[in-house]
Amino acid sequence: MGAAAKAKQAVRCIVSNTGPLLHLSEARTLQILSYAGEVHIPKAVEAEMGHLDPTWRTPSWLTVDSLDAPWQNRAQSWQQAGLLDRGEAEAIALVQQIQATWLLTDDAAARLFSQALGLEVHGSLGLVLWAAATGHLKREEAEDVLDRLAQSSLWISPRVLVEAKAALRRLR
Amino acid sequence: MKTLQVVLPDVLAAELEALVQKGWFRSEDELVRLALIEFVRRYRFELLERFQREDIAWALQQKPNKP
Repeated sequence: MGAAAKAKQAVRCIVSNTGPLLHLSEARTLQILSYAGEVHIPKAVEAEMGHLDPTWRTPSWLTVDSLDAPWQNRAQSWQQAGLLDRGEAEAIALVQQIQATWLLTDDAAARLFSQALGLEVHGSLGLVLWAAATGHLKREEAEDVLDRLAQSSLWISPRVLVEAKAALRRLR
Repeated sequence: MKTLQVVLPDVLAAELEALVQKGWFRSEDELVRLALIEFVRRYRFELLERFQREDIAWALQQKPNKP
């Protein structure tokens, strides 16, 4: 395998649901997503973001993908069964279509469902801590981001916030 | 769509069958699906906490080892 192919293989492919885009935007730290790899979203997630945040402009590092027919059908069947909403269903189907490494979601039902399918799933809180663990965020910056994330529309219990900050100190 | 095969105790299976026969649900499949959705809705916050804790533990493992 050539160097270019190896480099391409090393890029982590990620699909995000609406929640992490919204919560990380509200915490003014959306760019940490781009540090994690090549980020993809389905069209339904882009539409949901436009609906939830009228000032939303899809960043250039974010790729919006269409689902091929079999994956679209699969997403529709999940949605019609009442298991997931449209954005969640399309995001999970997109993970399977492009064989992404991670799915990012802050929704409990979507995460439970995805894990049952064998996908690796993380949320906004995990991504902030990952950025600190891998040196993309300094500890002080990460602590500020955690405080802003706790003020966002993402629900974080006070005890989990304390545990997350304790984890940051262990990452020094 | 994922298909789950579940083994139920006889008493519980009979109760599910009775609910379907009385017309509360169209099928046992629908009953089980709705029960799972209700479970997730009711335990949403506990699940969110559990998942966030899983992410904290995962992030701690991502720290590169010093040579």
